Amino acid sequence: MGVVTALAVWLALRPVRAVRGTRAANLVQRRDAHLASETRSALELASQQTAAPALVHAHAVQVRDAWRGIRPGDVMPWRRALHPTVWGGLAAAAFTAGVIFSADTATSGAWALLHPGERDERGVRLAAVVSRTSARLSYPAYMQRPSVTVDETAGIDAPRGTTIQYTVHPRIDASAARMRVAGRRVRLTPHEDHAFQGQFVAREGGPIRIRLKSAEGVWLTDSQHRSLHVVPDQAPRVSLSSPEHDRTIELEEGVRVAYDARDDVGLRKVRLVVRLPGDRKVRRTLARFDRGTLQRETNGDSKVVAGELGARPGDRLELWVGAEDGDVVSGPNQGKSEVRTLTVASEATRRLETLGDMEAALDTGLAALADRLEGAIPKSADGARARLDRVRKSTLRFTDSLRELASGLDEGRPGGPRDPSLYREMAQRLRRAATREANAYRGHVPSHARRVQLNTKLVTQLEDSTLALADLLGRARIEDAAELTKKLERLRREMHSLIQELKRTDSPKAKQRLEAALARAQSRMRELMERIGRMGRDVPSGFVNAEALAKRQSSEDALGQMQKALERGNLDEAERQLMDFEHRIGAIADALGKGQKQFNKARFGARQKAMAEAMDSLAGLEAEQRQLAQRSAAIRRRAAQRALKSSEALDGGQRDKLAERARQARKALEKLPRSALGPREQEAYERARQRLVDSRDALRAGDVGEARRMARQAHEELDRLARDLELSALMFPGQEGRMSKAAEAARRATDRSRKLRTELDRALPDVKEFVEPSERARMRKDAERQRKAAKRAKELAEQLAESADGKPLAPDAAKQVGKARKDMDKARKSLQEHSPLEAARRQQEAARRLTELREKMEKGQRNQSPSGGGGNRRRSGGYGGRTMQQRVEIPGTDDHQGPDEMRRRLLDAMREDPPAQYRDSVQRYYEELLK
Amino acid sequence: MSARTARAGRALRGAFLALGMVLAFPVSGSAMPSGEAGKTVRKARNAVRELRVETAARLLEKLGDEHANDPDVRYVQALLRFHEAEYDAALEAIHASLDAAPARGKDDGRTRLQKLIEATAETTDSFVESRSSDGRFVVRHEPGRDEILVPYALEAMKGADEALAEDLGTRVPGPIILEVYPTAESLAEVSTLSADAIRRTGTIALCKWDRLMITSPRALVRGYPWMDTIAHEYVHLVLTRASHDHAPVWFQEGVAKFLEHRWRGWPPEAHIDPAADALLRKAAREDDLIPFRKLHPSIAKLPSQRDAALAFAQVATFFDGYHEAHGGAALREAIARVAQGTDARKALAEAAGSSWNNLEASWRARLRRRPAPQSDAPRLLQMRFSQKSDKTDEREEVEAEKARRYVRLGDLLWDRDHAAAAKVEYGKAHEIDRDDPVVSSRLARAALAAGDPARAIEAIEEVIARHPDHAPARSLMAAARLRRGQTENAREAAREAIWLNPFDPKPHCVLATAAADEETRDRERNACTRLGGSPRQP
Repeated sequence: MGVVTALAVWLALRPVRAVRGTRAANLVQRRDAHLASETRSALELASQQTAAPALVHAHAVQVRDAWRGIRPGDVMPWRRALHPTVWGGLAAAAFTAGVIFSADTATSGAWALLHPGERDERGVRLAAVVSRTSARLSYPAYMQRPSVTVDETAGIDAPRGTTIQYTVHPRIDASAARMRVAGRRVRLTPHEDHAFQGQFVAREGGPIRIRLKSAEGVWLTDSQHRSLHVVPDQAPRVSLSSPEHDRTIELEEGVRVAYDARDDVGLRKVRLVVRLPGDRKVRRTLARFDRGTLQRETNGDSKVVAGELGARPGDRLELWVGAEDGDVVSGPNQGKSEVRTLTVASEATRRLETLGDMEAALDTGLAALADRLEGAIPKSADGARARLDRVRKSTLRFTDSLRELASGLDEGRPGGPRDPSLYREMAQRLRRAATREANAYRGHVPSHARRVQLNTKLVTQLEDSTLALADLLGRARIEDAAELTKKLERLRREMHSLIQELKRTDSPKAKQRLEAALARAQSRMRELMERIGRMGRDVPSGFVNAEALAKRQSSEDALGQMQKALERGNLDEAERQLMDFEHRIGAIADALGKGQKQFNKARFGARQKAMAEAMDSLAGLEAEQRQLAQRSAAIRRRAAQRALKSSEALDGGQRDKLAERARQARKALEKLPRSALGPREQEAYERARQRLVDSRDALRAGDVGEARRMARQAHEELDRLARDLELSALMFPGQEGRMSKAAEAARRATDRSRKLRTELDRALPDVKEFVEPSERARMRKDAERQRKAAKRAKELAEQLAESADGKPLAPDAAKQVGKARKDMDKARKSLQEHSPLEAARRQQEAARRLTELREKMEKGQRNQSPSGGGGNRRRSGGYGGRTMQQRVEIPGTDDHQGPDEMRRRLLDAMREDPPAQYRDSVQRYYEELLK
Repeated sequence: MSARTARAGRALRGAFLALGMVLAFPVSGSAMPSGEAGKTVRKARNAVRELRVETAARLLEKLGDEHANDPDVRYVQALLRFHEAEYDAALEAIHASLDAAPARGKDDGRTRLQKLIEATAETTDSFVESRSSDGRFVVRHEPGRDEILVPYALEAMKGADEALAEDLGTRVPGPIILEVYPTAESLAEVSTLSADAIRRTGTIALCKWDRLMITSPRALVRGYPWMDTIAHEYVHLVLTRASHDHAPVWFQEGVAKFLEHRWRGWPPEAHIDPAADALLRKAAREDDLIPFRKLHPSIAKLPSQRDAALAFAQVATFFDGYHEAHGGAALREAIARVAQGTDARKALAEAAGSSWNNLEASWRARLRRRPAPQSDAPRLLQMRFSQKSDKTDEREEVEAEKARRYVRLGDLLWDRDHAAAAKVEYGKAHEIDRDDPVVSSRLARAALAAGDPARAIEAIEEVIARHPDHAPARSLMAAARLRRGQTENAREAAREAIWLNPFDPKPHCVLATAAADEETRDRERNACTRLGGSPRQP
């Protein structure tokens, strides 16, 4: 049959060969012989590929254009198909098919004619003996689906566990029937209308074979191929919409977990699973459905807090949502969402972020540099402007990146340099240069030479900045790896202690903790390997001992061996492996420490040297300034004591007189009609009144200084109040001129308070006047010393601000030294004017600034040298212990709840002999009061 | 003569003396076979020492059966097998010797020999062997990457064999074995030299025990002239055999240096690198040449590297002049006289029909006649052994600090695919130090990537003239020439580059396009791909 069909197809397609390949040109032969020839040439050229491609293409285009004018009907031999014999043949074929398919016996006979003697695998004859079949499908109860009846032809699709009632309608007069489904026999019994029926449960798919016994007693297998396809219950599908990707989280952050679960039949349970280090899993049921209420889909959300699950900073948590369906036939199917990894933020992750930002900033900087280096500066004005727009943008992008890095440091992010001013200074310099360049292009475009000059300046700055940033990045990478190594060492100690505990107690809890610690160590080890791997680009291999770092792999192996030992319960072996791990980690730490030292020396050598010099200058300057301050303070103390004696000489009568002045001023104030005052004025009134009371009390107690200060404050308050009231009276005189009266009363009280103040000033002599000639001569000498110190401060500020290796040394420190220098200048002036109070105050302020700066810089250096390099520097100029280094704060009026009491106590202390450490402070305070 | 060889000679001295002790003194202290048999053992031992290996084999063949358990016979057998590179058999023989008569202590020569054989057997245990089609040349190497060396190594051995048979009148009976050691450490294992000494002195190849031993070029960051080195060691092999190992070291090194380029088909001529050449010129100009008597018996006795380098340049130019004046026949005759035990200086003089003083005087005069160089002496580049780390940074070799700064900037830009910008920064470094091969190579690399092969060629042309052994410059030159359409020059440069560093894919990729015949193109295409290169983008 196949042969006959193939022959027929071959004969039918024979005419097609006449137009195959280049012979397709024959189609147009009759219509246009020239075009046929050209077409043939084009096809041959295209197939041979010997001629020039351009020539072949041109020829093909030409032929294609010629063909466009020809309709397909003009060249295709359709007419032959319209011949009457063709129509006759088609009609006869249609009639025969109709007869065969209209009668069962005819169909059966036709089949037998076409398949003479064909038998099945058991040797039973094949025949078209079944007219049709049908199946009633009763689905498993858990599916909650109604039964259906299907008239099948070739196959049945049924879920596993479906009960199928199968009906066979014979084409012949059959006396019995048998059926096999997937090799299993199914009993068929006679049914109505000569049919046969049987029932089975769909468990396995396979062929369905039906046999009928004819009236003659001959078994015949139906020739129709049928099959049962068992559809297994699908596992649930679960997806996470939050978190959308792996991320870093804070330890106490609530991470939203949003899911969507679906199942083809019905969901029974949805659970959140979080895997913690040590393979500890925490499961939480998110949804549960009873058998009768299974849901095909559900969604919802939940919250995960890593800290609540016992995670630690740096841990990696794996999280997913799992779902289970209600399949009771094959057992529940389980589905699982994608797994998200949540890394609990730690110093290490934050450092990594900083490193990433630094790297991104470096990329931006190099892109900006490349923009300026690649391509010459155009000669034309338009071209130059266009280039400027482009390169300026990339330069400013870099400055923005630098500022972001500085902001990150301000926010306390770890990693990278400690001093954000480095980045800021770089950004400022670049921005200034970029602005200068942009300004030069305003209006007329500058000359080409000037353009080149401006560009060169920026290129140099970009070079300096990118190199500096690359150095900082390299150092940060080594430091980061060193920190991770330290972390590993801590974990090792923890594991060691846990092994000892486990040996002693054999407690499951200790074992669990040990496993968790080991998992953490393995995770940190992987991090370390990754970080060391990344180091390669930023830290040349010459700076790190490659052989030692190669031990990182063996360190990981040691941890793996330890894990195996623990699994076997061999604690001694685990301990040995831990010791091995310790050696290897030690080697890595050494290599990193040395690398760090070498890298710093090579890349920051000049800077470190400059910084060391600056620190020495700073320490020297601080010592000098402190000495000067001490000298002025001594003069001040003596002069103040003399002044104090003089003020104590005020007799009781004089003090009483002044107290009376204070009382009069208060009385004058109390005459003020308070009803005219608004709330703010009322407050001012109360304050002024109280100060006058204080002044009187101080005088009665013999404290002239305090009385003067109170009188001053009272006068200031009253003066303000009087002015406010006078202004109000101008605009709103009030009923019966009440406001004007209040203003007048306030003015009178002000006049009285002024008198009080003036008299008190006269009563209290100026300290300056109590400086003796020998002390004046000393102050003149000190003024010269102070001038020299100020000059040194200026030089130091320049030294700190100027570029070392392309980056400023410590711009913030330079500013601080600048402020100290201003104090020094003022102190020098005061010394020249023989004013010990002001001189000492300014000198002490300058010394304080320098001390604070030195301490800050020393702290910064210690932080930048975790391995201890540079930590042995001389600390201070020899001012004794830490206590004396600390600044003793004198409380201001707003600093304490009871400032007056505090002051009193200090005054009492002044009269007594104060503790040595506070003597100077008390003296200063007293002098403050004296002013 | 290169400083490399000078250092090698000095470092090897100790090792060779040790071996000399092994060979020269009574074997085991036990009684030798009496009578004729004893004499034969001594003859065999001397034959091995003089690399008359075939003679020794014949002599021992007779003794083997009769004195199979004699410790001395077994010892000499072990020596012979070791020279034949049959390590397992050598090991068996030395064990048998020691079993028959236990060692007298650690100073017993057999113990040292046993250790050497064991180390060699262990190191070469995993080696695979490739042979030339006629089986005359054998290359043993670690399986894997070193396989790339084989066709080139065979080419060098074959070339040297043909040239030296003509020049020295001696052809070594095959098979001639070349062993390629993957690292300096493995060479140390088999040569009694310490790895530290190898690294410090730059010793990278040996010819001893009748075989050639080289370190794989992949053990060095930039490779080294490994093909010339094979030929150099080949000269030692032939000369040792021809002179019955009686030629002093200065004679050996002078002839080897003089003839090491002969495998290329070049005429016999001393090729002194510019740095050593400068030393020689200066010494000749200032009459500060080292007297030959001071070179005897070993150049390695000279006090400094400078003196050693100068001495090698001296001996190489001496043989150059000798050959030019008296021809190859005189040289061959001198070697024959040395083989008979004549002093090397006397042998040379007699073969030339002159006196040694005359020979020396004429050589000095010749030196003084040499034209002055056109530029200053280039600095000597140190050999750099590969580290275990992934990347080895050449930048630190740049001497000028300012130049190093620009190179660093260029590297940062290059790493981020800003080739044109990198070219500018490397260009600035190049302006500061035009003689630095690292700077020039990086400039050329960036220029090539930025589509400027002319600039690349300009950058490295001078460097190649002054530092002919700088492989990266050669490799870049090949790529640049090809990019400029100069196929012939590209081919030449690529071959030179491979002769320095066959593990750089670039020259192979160049040859995949530029080679003259299809067979070579195929081979190079495979090598290029195997090494991770792309034949389309050399």
